[in-house]
Amino acid sequence: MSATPLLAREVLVAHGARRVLGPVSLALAAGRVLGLVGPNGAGKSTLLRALAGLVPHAGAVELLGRPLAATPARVRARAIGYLPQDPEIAWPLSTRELVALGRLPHGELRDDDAQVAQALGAFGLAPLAARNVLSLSGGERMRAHLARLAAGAHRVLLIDEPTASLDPGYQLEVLDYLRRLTRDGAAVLIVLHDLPLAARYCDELLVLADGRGVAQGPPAAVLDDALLAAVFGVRGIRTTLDGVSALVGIDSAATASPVTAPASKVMPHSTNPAPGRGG
Amino acid sequence: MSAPGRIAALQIAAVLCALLVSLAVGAASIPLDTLLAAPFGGDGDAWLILREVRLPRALLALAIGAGLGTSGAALQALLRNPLAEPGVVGISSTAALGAVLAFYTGLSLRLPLALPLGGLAGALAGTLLMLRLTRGTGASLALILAGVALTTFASAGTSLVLSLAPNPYAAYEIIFWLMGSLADRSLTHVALAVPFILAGLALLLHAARDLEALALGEDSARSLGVDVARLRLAVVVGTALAVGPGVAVAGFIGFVGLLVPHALRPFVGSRPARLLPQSALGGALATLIADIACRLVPTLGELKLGIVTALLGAPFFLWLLTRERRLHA
Repeated sequence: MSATPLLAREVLVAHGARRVLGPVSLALAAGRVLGLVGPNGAGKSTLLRALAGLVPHAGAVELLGRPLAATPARVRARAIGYLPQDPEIAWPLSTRELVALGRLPHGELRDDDAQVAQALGAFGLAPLAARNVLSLSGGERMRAHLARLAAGAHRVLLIDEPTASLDPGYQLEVLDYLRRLTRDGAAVLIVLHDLPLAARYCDELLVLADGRGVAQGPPAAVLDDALLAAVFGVRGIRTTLDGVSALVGIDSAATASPVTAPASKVMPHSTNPAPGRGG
Repeated sequence: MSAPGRIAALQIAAVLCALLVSLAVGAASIPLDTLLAAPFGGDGDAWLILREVRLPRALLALAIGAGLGTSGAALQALLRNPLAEPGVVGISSTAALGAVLAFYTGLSLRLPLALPLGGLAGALAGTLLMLRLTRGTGASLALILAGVALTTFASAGTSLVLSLAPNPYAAYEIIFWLMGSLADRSLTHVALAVPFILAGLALLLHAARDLEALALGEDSARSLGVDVARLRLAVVVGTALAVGPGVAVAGFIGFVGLLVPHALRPFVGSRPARLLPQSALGGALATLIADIACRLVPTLGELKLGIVTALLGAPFFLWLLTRERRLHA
C-alpha cells in the first residue's frame, strides 16, 4: 500500500490577522469517505479549498507523500479532483464536453477519449452526452460533474455540498454514484450539510466548529447528544421505524434537555471528540 | 467534415473573396485580369496602385480585424462575460491618446510616422500601467476596474488635447483620425502594425486551451492545473499586442471585437478552442467588408471605417441586450 493519499497537519488559514480556519488535522484513506460537517461559517469550504491548493495556508499538507506546496500544478491537478459548491457553467457545454474537461490535467482534451466514454457510461449519462448541460435537471447535472471527476481518475476527491438544492431522491442517487468513485480507490472528503445523510453515508465524520476540528470518528460515535447540542444546537438524530433519520430540535425539547447552550456560545479549543462548553 | 470545420472553410473562402474584392475596388477601376497579372510583371501602373494603395489597406483590414475578433472572444471567455470587448482593457484608449499627442505636439507634421509610433508608445504605456494596476490581485474584477480607470483617464487626456488644440483644423484632423480609417495607409504602416498583431494573435490562440477550463469557473480551472493569473496576463498582453498597433495605424474601429464572437457562437459554440480561431477569421472578414463598404457607398468624402463598423455594430449590440434580458426574465 502506498502512502496516505492526503495528509494534513495543523492546517491554518487566515485572512489578514483573522483566523478563518484551523488548526485542523486529517488523513484521507484510499477508498474511504470522510464527511466534513459543521454549522454555517465553520470553515468547511475553506478547508476544502486549502487542501485543493486554492487558498494560501499554514501547516503541512502532504499529497501522496510529497508536500502539496512543492507539487507542480499539473501533478496536483491529476491527483486531486475538486468540485466546488454550486459549480459554475460559464457557457453552454454538452455533457460530453463537460466530462472531457476532466482530462485536461492529463494533457488530453478530446471528446472521444475512452476515459470520457467510460465515465459517461458509468454515470448513466450516455443518453444525455450530446445535451446542453444547462438543460439538464439538477440531479443530472450533478451526475455530469461527478462524471467529470471520474474521467480525471484522481486519487483524492474534494467535493463541496454535492447534494445541496437537490430533492431527497436525487441526493441519495448522487451519493450512490459518488460511492463508485471510492470503489476505484479514490479517497474522498465531502462536505455535507445534511447530518442524517452524512451519518448514513460517510465512513467517518470530521466535525468543524468555528474553524477548528472538534471531533472525528465513525458517525455513530461522533454525533452524540452533547456534540449535537453544543455544535449544531439540536438535541439529537432520531431514527424512526422506517429507517428515516430526522433531527430533533432543542426548541421542541423545551427544558427536558440537559444541554441547551446555543451553538454560538460554544468555543471548543481542542480536537477532543467530546467538546465541553468552553469560551 | 465537422460543423465547425465547414464554418471555418466557408469563412476562409469568404475572406479570400473579400480580399480580392478589396484589391479590385477603388477610385481607379482595374479589370480583374490586369489586377491578377500585375504582381507578375503585368501592368506597371496597376501594380503601383495595388502595392501602394490597396494591398496595405487589405492587409491592415485583415490583421486588425483578426486581432479585434480574437481578443474579443478571448476576453469574453476570460471574464466569462458576453459583453466584454477589446476596449475593456483600456489599451485602445491609451493608444489613441499616444497618437493624438503626436498630432498635438506637431511631431506628426515633421515626421509622418510619429503618428503610428505615438500610438504604439501609448499602447505600450497602457499595457505596462495595466499590468502594474492588476499585479498581485487575483480577480477578474480588478482587471475590469483597472480597464475602466485606464479608459477614462486616456479619454480625458484625449479630450484635453482636443480642447487645447492650437487651431480648429488641428482639432478636426484629430477627430477625423480618431474615427478610424484605412485610407492612404502604406506598406510602412503594415510593417509597423502587423508583426505585433501576429504576435498578439499567437499569444491569444495559444491561451485558448487554458481558457477552455474557465467554463467551470476560476476555482475549478485552477484545480484542473490552469494558472489563472498567468492566463489573465497572457490575454491582457495578447489583446494589447493584437489591438493597440491597430489603433495606432488606423484609429478606433469599434464593435468588431464585441460583435464577431457573438455572431459566430450560434454556429461554432462558445468553447474558446473553437471560437478564437473562428473569430480571427470572422473579424478579418467583417473588417474587410466594412472597409469595402466605405469605398463603395457614394458620399462626399470616403466613409470612415470606425463609423461603418459602429453603425452596423450598435444595433446588433442592442438586439443582443434585449435578447439577453428576455432570456433571463
